Amino acid sequence: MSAAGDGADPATGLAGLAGLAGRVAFVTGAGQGIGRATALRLAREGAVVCVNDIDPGTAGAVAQETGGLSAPCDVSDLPALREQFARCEREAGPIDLAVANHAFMVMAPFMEHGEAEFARTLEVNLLGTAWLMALCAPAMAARGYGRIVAIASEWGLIGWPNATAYAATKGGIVALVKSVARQYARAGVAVNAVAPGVTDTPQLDVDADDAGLTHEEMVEVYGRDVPLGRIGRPEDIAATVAFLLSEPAGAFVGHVLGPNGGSTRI
Amino acid sequence: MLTPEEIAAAVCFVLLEDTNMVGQVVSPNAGAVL
Repeated sequence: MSAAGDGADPATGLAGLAGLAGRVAFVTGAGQGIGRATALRLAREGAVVCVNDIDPGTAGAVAQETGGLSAPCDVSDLPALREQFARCEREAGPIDLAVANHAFMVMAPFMEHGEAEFARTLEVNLLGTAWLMALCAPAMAARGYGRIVAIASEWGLIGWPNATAYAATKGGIVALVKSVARQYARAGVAVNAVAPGVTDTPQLDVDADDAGLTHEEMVEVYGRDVPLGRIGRPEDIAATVAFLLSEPAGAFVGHVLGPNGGSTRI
Repeated sequence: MLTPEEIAAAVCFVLLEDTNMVGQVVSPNAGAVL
């Protein structure tokens, strides 16, 4: 495996973010969307990226793009996640950067959520994030350095009537981040969250299906209400994640950054 | 205590990175306010 870049932005020539080159990153749900954009950004910054996804095919494809490792598994399956995490550390070295990006979402009014769907949303989104933190935070603390970013959601801050389970788990992730951040800050481990607004990823198909629209129509409808005039791009969110993984971001403890085009000011 | 460089890094992030953050308060405060 190899790091794919030196961190300089090919478009602007700006220097890369401090403290990413040469480090090993583990990114969950990185087979598509925000996770894939984050993996590509980190690789460009010179990090070695371990690409997790529940789909081995997409995990492998992104690992090939980044020159990193493929680490497919269901993050809610702790033994499987532990096995992939340990294998990545054996092959690539200690994991100093971790991104809990995975998500499961079903859209329905509260009383129309099936019990299994509600439980699955909790298992994947909240427990999967907790399991990732449990695997990496103590080891990072023992080494005296680490950065963890969890992807929450604007809906985890303001709620969303047709995504009750999803919004509840994302709100839970914010509390999880703040709690773990308090515990590990003095050990050099910065734990923070990014709460994106609506972003143009394959997950938007769930919204489009629920609304009876095409993906493109959904992008346009959501974009109308955003002060910036458009919904987010995966690269917008990846840039925010990359910053919170950088060395100077140690000044952020339990923070929630909201790249959402101004739809919610936090 | 924070260093000026840590604040500068946050300022540069907001100024230079191409994100969709609008009207956000970015607060590097070492956890003093959570």
